[in-house]
Formats: sequence, structure tokens, C-alpha cells
Amino acid sequence: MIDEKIYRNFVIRLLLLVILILMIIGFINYYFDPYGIYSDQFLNQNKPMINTHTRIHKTQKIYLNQYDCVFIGTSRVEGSMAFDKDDSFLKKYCATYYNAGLSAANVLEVYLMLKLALKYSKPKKIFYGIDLFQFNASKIDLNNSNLNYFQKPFYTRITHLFSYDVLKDAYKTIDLSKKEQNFYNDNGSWDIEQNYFFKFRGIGIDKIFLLTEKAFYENFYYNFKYNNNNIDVWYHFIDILKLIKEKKDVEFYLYINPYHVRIIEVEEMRLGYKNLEDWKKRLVLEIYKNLQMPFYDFSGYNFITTEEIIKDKNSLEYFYDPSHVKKIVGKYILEKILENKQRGDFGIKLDIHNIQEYLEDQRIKQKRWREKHTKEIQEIKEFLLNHP
Amino acid sequence: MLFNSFEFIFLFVPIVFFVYYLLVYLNYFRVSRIWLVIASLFFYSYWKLEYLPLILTSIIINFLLGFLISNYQQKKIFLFLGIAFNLVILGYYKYYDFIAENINLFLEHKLPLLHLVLPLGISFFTFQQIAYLVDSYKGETKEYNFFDYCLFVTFFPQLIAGPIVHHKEMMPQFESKENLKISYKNISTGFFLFSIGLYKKVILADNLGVIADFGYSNTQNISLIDAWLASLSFTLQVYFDFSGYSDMAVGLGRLFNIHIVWNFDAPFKTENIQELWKKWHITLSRFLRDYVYIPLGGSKVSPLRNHFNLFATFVIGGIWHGAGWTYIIWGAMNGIGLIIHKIWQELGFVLKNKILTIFINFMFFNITAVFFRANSVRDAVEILKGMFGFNSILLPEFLKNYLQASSFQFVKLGSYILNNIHADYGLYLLFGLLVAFLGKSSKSLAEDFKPNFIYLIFIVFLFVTSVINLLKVSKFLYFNF
Repeated sequence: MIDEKIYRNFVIRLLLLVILILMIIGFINYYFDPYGIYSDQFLNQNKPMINTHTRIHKTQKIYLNQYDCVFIGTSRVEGSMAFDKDDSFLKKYCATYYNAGLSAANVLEVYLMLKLALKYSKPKKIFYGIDLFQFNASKIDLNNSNLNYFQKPFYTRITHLFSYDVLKDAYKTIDLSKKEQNFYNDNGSWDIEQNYFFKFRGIGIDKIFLLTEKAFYENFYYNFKYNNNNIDVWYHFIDILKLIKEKKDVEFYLYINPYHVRIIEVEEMRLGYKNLEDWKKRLVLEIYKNLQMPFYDFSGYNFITTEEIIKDKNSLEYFYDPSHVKKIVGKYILEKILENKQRGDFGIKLDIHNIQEYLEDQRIKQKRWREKHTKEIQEIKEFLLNHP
Repeated sequence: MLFNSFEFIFLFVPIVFFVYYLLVYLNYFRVSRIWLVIASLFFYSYWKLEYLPLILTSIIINFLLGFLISNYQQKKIFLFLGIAFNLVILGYYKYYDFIAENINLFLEHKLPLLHLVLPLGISFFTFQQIAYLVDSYKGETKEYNFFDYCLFVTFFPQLIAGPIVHHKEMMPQFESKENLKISYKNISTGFFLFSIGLYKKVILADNLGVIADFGYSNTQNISLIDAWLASLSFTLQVYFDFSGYSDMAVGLGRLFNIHIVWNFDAPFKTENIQELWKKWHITLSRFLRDYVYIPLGGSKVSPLRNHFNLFATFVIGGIWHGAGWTYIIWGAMNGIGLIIHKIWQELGFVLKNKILTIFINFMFFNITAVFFRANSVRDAVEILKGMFGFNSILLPEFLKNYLQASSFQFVKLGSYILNNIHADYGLYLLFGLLVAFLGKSSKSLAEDFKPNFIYLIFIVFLFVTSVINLLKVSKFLYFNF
């Protein structure tokens, strides 16, 4: 009996101590909130750790807030759909908007983000910027614990309170908040003044292009396949289309993001141009089959994506790097989609009737571009294959 | 539901615990046991609801067959039916694709593959129920209530990855009135054991797994040091993963005053492979001894037949772990190791240096574990080639100035696994080795446990450190078996 009393006191002390320590950790994580998911009321408004934790940050924003318009896709969407709070053009269509683009998001993540947005943000319009590299099944990991951010947002809020990683990042937030900036706007788009591309300032736009192309060659298009370890990316993409079909009261706009044609040279090397064409054909077909609606292609060869790279120049008119267009291009995209305003040959509405003709036209344009840029193409290939 | 998840630790266990003791307090003893069955089935189906009917069917049929075996003359027929039923279910889910793939090598018209997801814990609850049927046949069981039988099979601490318990170890405990009282001694010991297990899993096994996964997914021409890092990391990972799970199971059982048998007892401190298998996955070794090795004749046969019995038992043990040639080879290697040990003993050879025998024993186990972990026989061979220096010896880049690499055919300069992941993981390997060889077993720690300040701080450290690292949740390795 005495023994039991001692053990009872031990259990009580043990539980109290555990609860106390976890509460202290929880309080610190909540108060310093390194990923910007709990409260905007406290100190440390500048949270540079968001830059490396955009998935948890953005899923929580979508989970907690309602927006008229939501943009989903990759960092190409993050960079291009960056409108000021009071942008008069966007205001016509969206009183509030959130850019839920995620760096290197694959189709599964887009599907989950779309599902989350439809459930919690209740948007009236959704814009999805599609990219080929999202379809690389070898980059999808079904066991990735980050998927919990999309699937269990409330659980994520609770569990991150008691996390050592968050605690470490809370400390880093205090340390870094005076040295580095969060390079995201409140609406989820890039705050380009703070963006990491500015770290490249001074190295020359030609070098920025080559380094980005190398990243595509070595990472995004490496081991590219539609099926891998029980993952079928087209299955996930069709799931996206099915979700769209179910939601009759939401307007959806699908388009292929623009990127510089120099990246097509990387695609050519890794996949072959024919596969790029086949991908577009299948997109048209699946979208037509499931939604009977057209979509837009802003990639390929047009006056924006063929912007000339001038060495020794630090910036271009339309591009930050070959993968990311500037926000002015984002505006052109929306003008085409929402108002059917055509700027030169930038952007085309595609369906099963005009896809073949369009691809043939692209081949002609490609030939012309290549003839004019043989030296540049040679330089890209040499850099990709020989540069360590 | 995983033991190493927030929902299990902070929701499931507290709710099950409080409702259970509330029902006991209100004198609803039978209901309290039914509550444990319901909670256990919820725990099981939380993973995949589709497999709930499978486990329920298995329980009902085995209970009925156990009843028929105990009460009717045609015991042998019912036993045969029962074993066949269990093996067919296990074979269908676990071995069909493996068998079909191998048969397809010789067929023109290929058998279709099913690609079934293995129902969680099927190997464990199937073996546990086979043991129950055999014990019923031997007349070692008595009339049990259906819900007690359900609890015996489904009790959540041991349902998914064992220990594989005997009905006689569990049923009397479920039926004992004494066990219905709340015991703070058991609660504190249980909490202690759960914390040890959680720490082993979250801090040790999961971090060692990073090195092992890296090595085993880059087996092509793996260098000597990398191959050893990968193999040692996996051996320790599987030890901490599984023994951690078992510690948690024992600890959880204690919360309900149920003493679940130990599954590990410092196996790496043993001096020969026979001893090691008596202290590693103890309940599986016991099952294989009682229900395979002894029925085959055990040691009461000619030496040659005895050697065959040992070999066959270990091959079956290998097959139990998984459908693949790597598991079969792993089982065979252990069987051969045991035969060599027996012959060695019979010839009267003795190695007196304890450290040397422990070292040899561990190294043998470590080498066999390469087959246990590798994705294919080819990968295993690559790792072994690396371990024995057939690939190359990789030295750090900084030695470039001191060595002329071209003068050594097998010496290359480059980065180690650790440089590619994070050098800190090397500390986990070192820490893991220290714990495995110098640390006390959980059994001894539980026996020494006292409710004093030092233990209080120790438990809080283990528990809190583990909980705040739970975000990178990973499955237990033995969930795949």
C-alpha cells in the first residue's frame, strides 16, 4: 500500500513534468511561429524560415482563410501571378486572392492543394498553371510526411507545436529575422525585392540561365517517367480533372506556364521533343475527355519565351531566369484567359481540333529559332554535359 | 495507428486507459474487456478498414475450430483444417505473387500477379492462432469466452508486430480479478518501458535508417567503408526498431496490468548464434522451436537429421519474414551458422576470449542481415563485395595530397555516405553500438526501476526527446512481415 502511494506520486510528478515541458515548448513554438501558421499578433513578423517551409505555410493559409481566387501550380505560378493588393485589373475578377503555388510541386501535391482549397477556401475561381516537370513520377514519394500538411491541416497545427524542428527554427527565426527576409508576400506570391534571385545579382543573366538549365537537366528532368513504384502521374492528373468536374459552382482555368525556349533544349536532351509534343497532346485529350473545355498554352515558341539573352545584362524584360517569367507576363496570361486579349503570338487556346496544327506550327518556329541560335545551343549543351 | 504517433500517444492510449478503468471502477468487468477488444479493432482498422473483416473472419473461424478440436473426436481433421485455413490465408496475401513470379519463369502463359497489400500483422496473428489450435489439440486449452479469445488475438499492444503470445500466457491474465485493480507500479514501469521503446525507435532506429537507406539504395560498386556503414546501420536499425516496438508493447500491456512476454534480451551480447536466437525475437524463435523444430524430431534424431531440422526451421523462419529469395537465403545462412556452431561444440572447440566471440557472433549476424535488408540478391552481393574489399576502398578527399591514388589499384578518393547525408548520423551509429553492446537490456532496466528522482528525469528525457521528434513518422520495419 505504501509502495503504491510512492508509485502514485511518481506517476503524478512524471505526468506533470512531461506536460509542463511540452507546454513550454508549445508556447515557444506558438509565440515565435517560425512558419507563420499560428498567429500574426506576436513579435517576429519577419519570418525567413517560411522561405524553406512554404508547403506548411501555404496549406495553413488555405486551410484558415477564404479567397475569391486561388492560383495553384509550381514556383512559376508563384513568380508570375504576383499582383499588388490593389491591382485594378485583378480586382475586377477577385476581391481577394491567394497564390498557392509551390516550388517544384508535383501533380499529387497540386491535387491535394486543390482539394484543400475547395474544402476550406471556397474560391470562385481557380487558376492552375501546368508544367511538364510536375509529371515526373520518380519525384513523387507517397510516404513523404509533408503530404500530411495537405491531408491533415488541423493535425499539422497541433503536432508542430510540440516539435523539436520547429523549436530549432524558432531560434533561427530570432537569429535570422534581422539578417534575412521572408520573400513571400502575404498573398503567397513572390516578393521579388526579397527574392533569392537577387542573390544572383551581378553574376550576369547568361550565367543565371545556364545554372537554372543545369538544375532542370540534373534534377527536374532526371529519370523522367510517368509511372514509378505504383505511381501513375496521369492517374493523379485525372483526379484533378475529376475534382474540377464535381465543382460546378467554381470556375477553373487551366494553362501551361510559359518558360524560356532554352529549357526546351534541356527537354530535348532528356526526353526528346516528340515526348514534349505527346505530353501536350495527352493533356488536350484528357482535359477534353473529362471536362470538355479548352485550355491555354503559353509555353513553346512565342515572342515572350524567345526573349533574347543579352550577356552582361543583369535582367530581362520578361524573365527572372529561364524557368520564371515576371509578373507582367502573369498579367498577360490572365488578360488572355479572362478577356481573350491577345498579345502578339503569346498564348493559344487549345483543344483536340487545333492541337496537331499548333504543334506543326511550333516545329517550324523551333527550326527558325534554332537556326538563329546555334552557338547558344552549343553553349548550353557544353555547360550541361561538361560543367561539374 | 503507429505507436510512434501523436494520435496514438495523446488520444488513443489515454482514452482507452481511462474508459477501461472507469468501467472497472463501475464494476463492469466484462464490458471493460469488450471495450479493450473494440479499442483494439479500432486500432487495427485505423490503418485500413478493408482488412477488418479479414481479421474478424480469422478470429471467428479459429475460435470455432478450437472449440471443435477441444470437444469432438475428430480432433486431427479439425486441426488439419485449421492449420490449412490459416496457411491458405497467409499464403494468398503474402506468398502468392512470389510463387507465381517464380513459376512464371517456366511458363509460356503467365499466371496473373495480384499485387495485394499485405494485411497488417497477418503473420503474427496467424501464427498466434495456429499455436492456439495446436495447444487445443494437445488438450492444453480450456473453454474460453469468445471475447476473451478476441482479446487474446487483438490486444492492441501485441497485435501488429507481436510478441507472438501463448493463450496460457494471456488468457489467465485477462480473466484474473486481481489484474482489474489500478496499479501505479505497473503504470510507472509501463510508462518507463514505453519511453525506452519510443526513444529506441524515434531517435536511434529512424536516424540509423537514414544511413542504411542511403547505402542500400546506392549499392553499385559500393566501397568498403560505405558498405560497412550501411550494413552496421541496418543491423542496429532493425534491432532498435523491433526491440523498441516490443518494449512499447510490453509497456502498454503493463498499463492494463498485463505482463506481455519479453521479445528481446540484449541479443548482441551473446557469444554464439544459438544464444543470439534465444534472445532475438524470442517469441518467434519459441514458436519455431515448439511448432516446427520439435515436430520435425528436434534433437532426438540422428545428427544429420538434426542438422536438417535446424536448417529447415531457419529457412521457414526466413520465409515467415517475407516472400523473397533474400529472406530464404537469410534464413538458410542462419541455419548453416547454427549447424556449424553445433558441430564446433560437438568437436569440443572453445574460444575463451569473450570479446572475440561476441565480435564474431555479431559480425556473422551483421553479414546475414545484408540479405534481410537488400532489395534483391544482386544488391546484397554488391554490399558484401563492398564489405570484403572487392569494390574499392574509398578514402576522404583531403588525403589527395598525401596519396597517389593511381598507385593503389583499389584505393579511390571520394566522399563517404556520411558526407552525402550528414556527418551527425555517424554519431547515431556510434551511440547505437554503445547502447547495443554496453547498455542494459530493457528487461533489466525494468527490473531495476525505482520511483526516484533519477528515474523521473530519465523517463522525462526519453519521452520528451522522442515526442518532439515525432514529426518524421516512419513505419516499424516489422510491419512489413
